[in-house]
Amino acid sequence: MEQRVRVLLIEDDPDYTMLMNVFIDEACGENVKYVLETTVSLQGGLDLLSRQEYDIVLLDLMLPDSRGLDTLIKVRAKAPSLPVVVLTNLDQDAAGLDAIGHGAQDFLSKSKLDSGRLRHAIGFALARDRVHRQMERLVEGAPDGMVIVDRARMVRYANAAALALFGRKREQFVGRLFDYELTPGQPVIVKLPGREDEEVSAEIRAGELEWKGYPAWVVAIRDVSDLKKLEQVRAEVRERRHTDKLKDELLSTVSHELRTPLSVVKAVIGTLRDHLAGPLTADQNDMILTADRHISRLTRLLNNFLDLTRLESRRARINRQPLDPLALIEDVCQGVRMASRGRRVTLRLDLPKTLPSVRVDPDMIAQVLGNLLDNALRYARGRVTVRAEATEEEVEISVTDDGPGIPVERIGELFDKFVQLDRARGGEGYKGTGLGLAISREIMTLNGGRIWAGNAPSRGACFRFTLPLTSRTAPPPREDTPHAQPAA
Amino acid sequence: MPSPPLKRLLIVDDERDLVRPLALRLAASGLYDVSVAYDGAAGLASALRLRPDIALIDLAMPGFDGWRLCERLREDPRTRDTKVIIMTAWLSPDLGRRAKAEGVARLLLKPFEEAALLDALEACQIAPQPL
Repeated sequence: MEQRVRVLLIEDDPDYTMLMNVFIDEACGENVKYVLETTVSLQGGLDLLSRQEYDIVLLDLMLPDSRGLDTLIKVRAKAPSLPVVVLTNLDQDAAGLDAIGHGAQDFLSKSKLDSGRLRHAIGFALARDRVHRQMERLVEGAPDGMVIVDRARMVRYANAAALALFGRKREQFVGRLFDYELTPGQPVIVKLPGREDEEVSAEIRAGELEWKGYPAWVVAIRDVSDLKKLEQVRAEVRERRHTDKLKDELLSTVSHELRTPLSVVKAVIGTLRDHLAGPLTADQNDMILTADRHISRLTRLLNNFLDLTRLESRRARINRQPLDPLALIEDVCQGVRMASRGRRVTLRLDLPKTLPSVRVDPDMIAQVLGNLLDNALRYARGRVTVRAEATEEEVEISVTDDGPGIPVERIGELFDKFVQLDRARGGEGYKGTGLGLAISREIMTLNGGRIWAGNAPSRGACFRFTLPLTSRTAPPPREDTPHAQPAA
Repeated sequence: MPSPPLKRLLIVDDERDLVRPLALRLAASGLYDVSVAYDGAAGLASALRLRPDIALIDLAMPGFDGWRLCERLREDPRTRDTKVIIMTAWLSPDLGRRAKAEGVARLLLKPFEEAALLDALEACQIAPQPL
């Protein structure tokens, strides 16, 4: 297939123009056909360039209306993507090289011109132009921003990614000042104001290069916002861990510092209460009993507070194991029965003969059931009932009292910290800590169960919780430390 | 009927205000011959001299602490059979494991109920095995 090359010759010497016509004709071959158009002035050339399409320009730099490199610059400005071969006079190689620095693809010495050289020069210029364009496309399409900045810090070129990063149009960016620090080999992170919604963190790296014959910077700009965010999250996690550790240490210390004087007061009051330091009057006895109750309350509060903190920070040691829920219920109920001897409340167990095995931490679940029974016994009029039943996935245990029930509007906040409902029949001098249900909820979450509350159909409050069946849970990772349970 | 011989009991705790009511209570029970010491070194000296049946030891004491005292009691033939009850206000995660390793008979977390103390003392006299 024949290739047609449209050549524009801008040349004011008519002899040379004629000669060029001859060479061009000679240069045409089977595959390539050159079509020459000529004009004698820069202005004529610019007019033609705006009206017609060409593949290449042959340009004499010395024209009646323009002389020297300025001629080339004006042609390039008119048709930036058109390859230009500059025609020079004898011994003007320096001028030719200068022209290449300003964007010419090649130069030809007029005195040495023949058809072979002309064909060669045109072919070479077109090929070089193709390579050049390919490089430009490569840079233009690069995912990182690429900017050429001259030594006066003016932007000479910016690719699409750079414009997108800075949020500017080409004409708002190229030709303007590049106002960021440039140190070769030293990347800097800057905030780009570009986008409307959020700041962009960009890493700017600069290298030196020659651009159109002058020293310049090539600047690569990469969006590192995501990396920055990741770093920020990492730092936050580190900080959080550190804070948690400090919190643990603080709690541990505070706990010790509180326990020591508490143990002294408890022992001293116990000595007085038991008349070990001499007899007491009835009033003194009464006062001491009150003090004793409140010491116990303070101790419970401290223990509950520590429990809850440990549970909430997920630092509690959990030791889930297969367990017979019936045995657990009976154990806890027996303990509660002994502790509540003398009270006029009956604890009734309404349990099936067998229940499937559940996988939970026995001490934790005993604490939950203990809490619920404790609450129920405080509010019950005469009876507390414990029931249990199995579904396909879990065992559900309920504790129901026959007290005043829970005001419906407060059921939602029941499991929050330090919530104590002033139900009509609270019990006899005993004060809860307001943490029992919050602890129970944390424990149930850790053990893969749920806990909730409502009112019994007849009257009274009903608390329910579920324990996941062993057959429905994956065996947990082996615990390498036994569950430390000091006598307390 | 002659009463059974008193058990020799040593309390070691730098918190004198706690030692006093504890000693008072245990002496008043009529079951124990109670001695006290207020630091680990004095506790060791008393223990080697008195060979107590039971030692009630606080863990956190300045310098010579409760764990060190436990070790020394275990090492010496005169006190090897002394039953040790640890009292502590520090609830550390490895407390149980360490107590077991040191051959401690019972752990009491301060503050503790009198019943828990009496229970621990009773266990020391009945159960020959440590934890």
